Amino acid sequence: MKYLRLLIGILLVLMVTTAAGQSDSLRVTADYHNLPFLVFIKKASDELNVRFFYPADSVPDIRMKVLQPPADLLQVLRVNLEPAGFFVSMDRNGNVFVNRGQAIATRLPDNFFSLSQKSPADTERNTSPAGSEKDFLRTNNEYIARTFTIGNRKAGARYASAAIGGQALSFNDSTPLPGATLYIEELQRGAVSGEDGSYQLEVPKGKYTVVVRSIGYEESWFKVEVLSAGDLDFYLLKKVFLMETVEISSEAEHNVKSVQMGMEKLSLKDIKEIPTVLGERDIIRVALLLPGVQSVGEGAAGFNVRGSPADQNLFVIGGIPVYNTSHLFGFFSAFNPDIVSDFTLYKSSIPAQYGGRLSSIFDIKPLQGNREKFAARGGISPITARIMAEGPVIKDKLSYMAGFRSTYSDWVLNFIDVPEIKNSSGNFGDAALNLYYNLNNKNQIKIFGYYSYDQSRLAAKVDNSYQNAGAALSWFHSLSAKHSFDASLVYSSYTFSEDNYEYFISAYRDNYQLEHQQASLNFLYQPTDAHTLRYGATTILYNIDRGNHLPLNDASLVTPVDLGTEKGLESALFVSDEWKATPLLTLAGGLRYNHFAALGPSTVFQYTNGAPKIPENITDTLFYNNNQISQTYQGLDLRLAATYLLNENISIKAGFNNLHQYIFMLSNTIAISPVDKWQLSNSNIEPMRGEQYSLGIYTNLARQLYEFSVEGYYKKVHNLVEYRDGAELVVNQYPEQDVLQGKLDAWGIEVMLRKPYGKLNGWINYTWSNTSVLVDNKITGEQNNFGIAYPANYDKPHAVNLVVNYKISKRISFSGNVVYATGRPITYPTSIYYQDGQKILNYSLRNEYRIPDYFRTDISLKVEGNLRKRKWLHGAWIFSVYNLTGRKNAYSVYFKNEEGSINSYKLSIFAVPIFSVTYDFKLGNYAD
Amino acid sequence: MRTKHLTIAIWFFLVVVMVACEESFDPQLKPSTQRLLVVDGMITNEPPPYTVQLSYSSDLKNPMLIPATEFQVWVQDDQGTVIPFTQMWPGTYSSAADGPAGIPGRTYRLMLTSFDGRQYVSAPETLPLPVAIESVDYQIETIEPDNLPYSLTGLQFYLTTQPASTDSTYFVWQLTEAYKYQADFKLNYLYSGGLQLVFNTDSLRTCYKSQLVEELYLFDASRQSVPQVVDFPLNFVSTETRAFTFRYSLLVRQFSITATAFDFYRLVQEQNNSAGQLFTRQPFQIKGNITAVDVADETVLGLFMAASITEKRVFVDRPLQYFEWHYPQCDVYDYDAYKFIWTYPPESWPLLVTRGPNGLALPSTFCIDCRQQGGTLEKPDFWEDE
Repeated sequence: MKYLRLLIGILLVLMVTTAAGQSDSLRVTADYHNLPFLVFIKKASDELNVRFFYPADSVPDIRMKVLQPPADLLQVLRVNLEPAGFFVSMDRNGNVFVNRGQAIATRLPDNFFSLSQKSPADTERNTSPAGSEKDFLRTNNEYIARTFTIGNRKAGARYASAAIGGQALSFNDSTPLPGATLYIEELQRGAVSGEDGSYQLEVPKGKYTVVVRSIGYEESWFKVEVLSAGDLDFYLLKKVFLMETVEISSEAEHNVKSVQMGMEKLSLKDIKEIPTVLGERDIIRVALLLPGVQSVGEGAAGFNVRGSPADQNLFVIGGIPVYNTSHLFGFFSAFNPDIVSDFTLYKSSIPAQYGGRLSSIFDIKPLQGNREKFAARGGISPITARIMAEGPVIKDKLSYMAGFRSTYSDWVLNFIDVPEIKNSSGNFGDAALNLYYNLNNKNQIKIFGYYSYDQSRLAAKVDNSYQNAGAALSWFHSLSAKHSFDASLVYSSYTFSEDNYEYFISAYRDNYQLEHQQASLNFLYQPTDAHTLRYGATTILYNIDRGNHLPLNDASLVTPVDLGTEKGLESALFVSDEWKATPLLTLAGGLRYNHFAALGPSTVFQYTNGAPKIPENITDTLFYNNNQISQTYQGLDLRLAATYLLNENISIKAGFNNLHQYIFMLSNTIAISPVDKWQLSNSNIEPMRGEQYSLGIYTNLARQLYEFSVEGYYKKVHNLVEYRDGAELVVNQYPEQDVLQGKLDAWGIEVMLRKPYGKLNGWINYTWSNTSVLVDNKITGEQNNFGIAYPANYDKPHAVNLVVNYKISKRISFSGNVVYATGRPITYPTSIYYQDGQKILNYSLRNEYRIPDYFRTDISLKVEGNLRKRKWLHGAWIFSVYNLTGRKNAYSVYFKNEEGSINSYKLSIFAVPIFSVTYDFKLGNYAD
Repeated sequence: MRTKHLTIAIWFFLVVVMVACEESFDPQLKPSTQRLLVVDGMITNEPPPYTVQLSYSSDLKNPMLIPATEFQVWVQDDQGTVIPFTQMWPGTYSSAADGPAGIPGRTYRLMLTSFDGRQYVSAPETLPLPVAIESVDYQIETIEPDNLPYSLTGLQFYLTTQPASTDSTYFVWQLTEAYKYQADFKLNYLYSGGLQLVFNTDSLRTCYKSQLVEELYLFDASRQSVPQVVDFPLNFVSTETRAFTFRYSLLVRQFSITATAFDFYRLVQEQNNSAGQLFTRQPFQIKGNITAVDVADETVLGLFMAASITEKRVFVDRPLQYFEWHYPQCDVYDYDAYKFIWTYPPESWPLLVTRGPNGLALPSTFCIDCRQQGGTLEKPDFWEDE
């Protein structure tokens, strides 16, 4: 693991520090007593100005005892950690290193300098190393050295130059370093060490800067004063590969102190541990274990956050919006877990820099390539093979990360003894590339590209394919230490096509394309510690080709229909501030002005005022030229949030936001299907508006070992777009004639208890929620469900998720989850009648019934390969069982007229326990 | 004809078949007390009488036709012609056999008035022109049904029409199948306390059965460059069932209907086919074309259709090369039952006795009397033997 690598991430900095550490002044008080390790070090790093480096994957699972406060920090750490096998060391700059097995030397051995200065007989020439301590040299790499003195003035008085010699040695194990170069900057000459690491050099007396380099070791600067002939050995530190900093983020206390509400952030580690379906790890399935996140059923694409339809979520990976997030019709998500660094789900306080969706932002951060060395990992599951490689192109400057995943066979289909399926096939894949160029401290450039595809063929009758493709270019520029901006250009496209050759004379091809082009400029300004100001602008140009309905071949009699195009420009300006008003009160406020223009070319119908939008009521037809504005909408989004700390461990948070959404998905199926189309607002379909109020209590329990929160919300959506009952979908040229706009009300309470770290970690949450949809246009008299409010398809009043991870040993970890939810609402027929000899079911009130409750348990066991240090490949086996109890959870219950008799059935998607084995591998050893 | 969502859904369904599971399930419906008026009426280009069936919807668990008898019924066309209907049977209203016939191109409305003054009216429906059926063909095909462990060989019927006029592009087909079949055993004796020899041993053996195929067949040719139906797949009848013992006949009645009526059937079909799929649709109450005149929100179910009908009947003999049978056959003679024939009470007389290789046997009536399987002994008028 890369985090572990950092543990050795010691800079050469410390080469010459002495015993005079600053730890003497670091005292921990009684407040620190009995805190879990992570909380302890978080508090210490906040209050004592120290930074901790520790192995992220084997955090000591202990509570820190401060028995006689106030006590010395280092002492406390050692007393607590050493019995557990951890070593603690600290350098003079306040960096504390905690690691297992071997202490990290933060200063040279006490006799280091006396050893290195093989002094000639005249003892007077020896100067104490401590004597020149003030003489630090700061280079642009921030390596600090001190001045070494060779010889003494007296001995050198008679000579203009002096012969110096010595060895270049490894600091780590004192082995000689042959072929090391010594270069004296001032003289522009140097020497190369011999087989035994020794060197000889004749130099004029004076002060020099000596640069010593050796392959595999850190380049080091030494300030040397040559007074007379003498010896000096140079010790070099082995090169260590530093990845991202393991400074502790403030996440441990975010729960209570941050002003964010309804935000869930999970890292690669969290994703990795959760059991899989058919061996595929899936971040969307992990998200479904969070409170307030539901889906209509197993294998359904997307999810529903706090009562909103799936199209009210914005999925962004590396800045690229993704319009179809699923593989294989929703079974797997389109994001390769190997390329994901972490993801954040905003479900109530959506920051002002985001907009355009009412319900949530699902922001996926891809891994940034390793800037120091090449690394790779991958895996094989029953469904896919995947690989991710990363490394530097120019060390420390330009790095890449590339990931690929593909179904390597559709052998799954061969298991099925149905002839129809033997003519079927399906495959999918995705790829991502992340380039990161660190121009300098002030400028960084990132290029991210993403592609995913799906293809399937059913029974030699229907071919489906769809693709997401996108690229994002962003430039981060720091204007000053407090002021920076991020400028980005984003392109994303989603296309699908369907070939249907079920009946040859009506064989057709449908296609669709959405293009998203975006330019954004986001500023971050922190004038004081109390304010975090963000402001910026975004503009998105949507180009939608609603596609063509075309004859598939010459035999087809289908008349081609062009469904037309749509174009729209969505722009926004935003400003927000997070203000720590008092130590106890933090306020956040934001404004986001958004504007949408529906652009030509287009043909727009005008309908009789107050009458249903049906062909009979068309009063006029307007034609718009390319880029001519046919309709504009605007709105002002407000984001408000406040956190009040009742005490160190309890806070109350409240938030309000309202949002506007100008693009929505047309779907009349319960689950999102791969042929559902995104559609823009226009003159005849108004944009959706939403408001959400939330209020919560956040607390850290048991000395911050647990996080507990209760959050309630009330949400309202206006102009919700619903299909009119019975709309014709295959060829709908004028969508406004097929939709009705209504409203949605959702409210709920989410209770979450989480143990974020330790050998045993995980969470349990309970959500009580309610979602109600009403489509009843009083003006036109149009309504769905007789104008009566009905629960949304994904309305599941009670939901409980339990996630448990347990690290049995360094090599074996167990994890499991248990999911319970009320059955989703469903519409059953209420009566039957006869028409021309056929029985017909009469459905009445929508979603009046519920399918049986859902319950599922999954477990997995991960077994890491051996822990040998020297190996080129480390592997891990993951055994998982999905739906351990084999409960036949209902996906749907339905009635069918089968040759005249009405039968009812229950369909379960995963009706048996599914066992799968996945093999994951990476280059290097366990720790890498 | 399925729509695209459905086919995808099937595909998906099959992918997960190894783990997916469909089982019978009773969802405990609340008893429905709601009785909605149902209209099932049609005027056609065929000679009168025409029929309008009025009924009330019934409970799903206990389906029945509840006749609505309290109405006065008439149809009016756009030229003012009124066709009165009289109740011939409870809920069944018929026009006079010598009344006016439906004329393609004319627009008709159904009017209903109940004795207590409730009034209902249909949307105006224009009778489309008839479209001639060019052929009803078949091909021998083998299918592998999901619910059977073996494949089935049989006849797949296809229909081709002549090109239609542009306003007759919506089709619904009603199929009636008829077949001739035999009981497995001959009738040798009748037993009514004593044996009575039967001379015509085949007297109860050959039957004819005619039944509606309860499946919707519909097609919309309105989006085609040529409004013609070519080789449209109709029903599949296995040669391995009793229906194909000897000879099979298919009557195709083709209704050219209006867009309104087609929409109704399309939705019924989509709702039925989409049930149980991954991408199942939101079901809803399908509205027909009847509205209550005074009560705006009263729901009336069903349709009044104006349809042009053409029909074609075909006969097919059992293809000799396919001999596999997959239906219950009487191949074991029940000699033991015959030994105890004296124990049967007189109410069950006469008992049908057959002669097996080892003597007399008393099999199930089903094996001797073909009528037990739903057919009649009388040869229907339309039946043609080769």
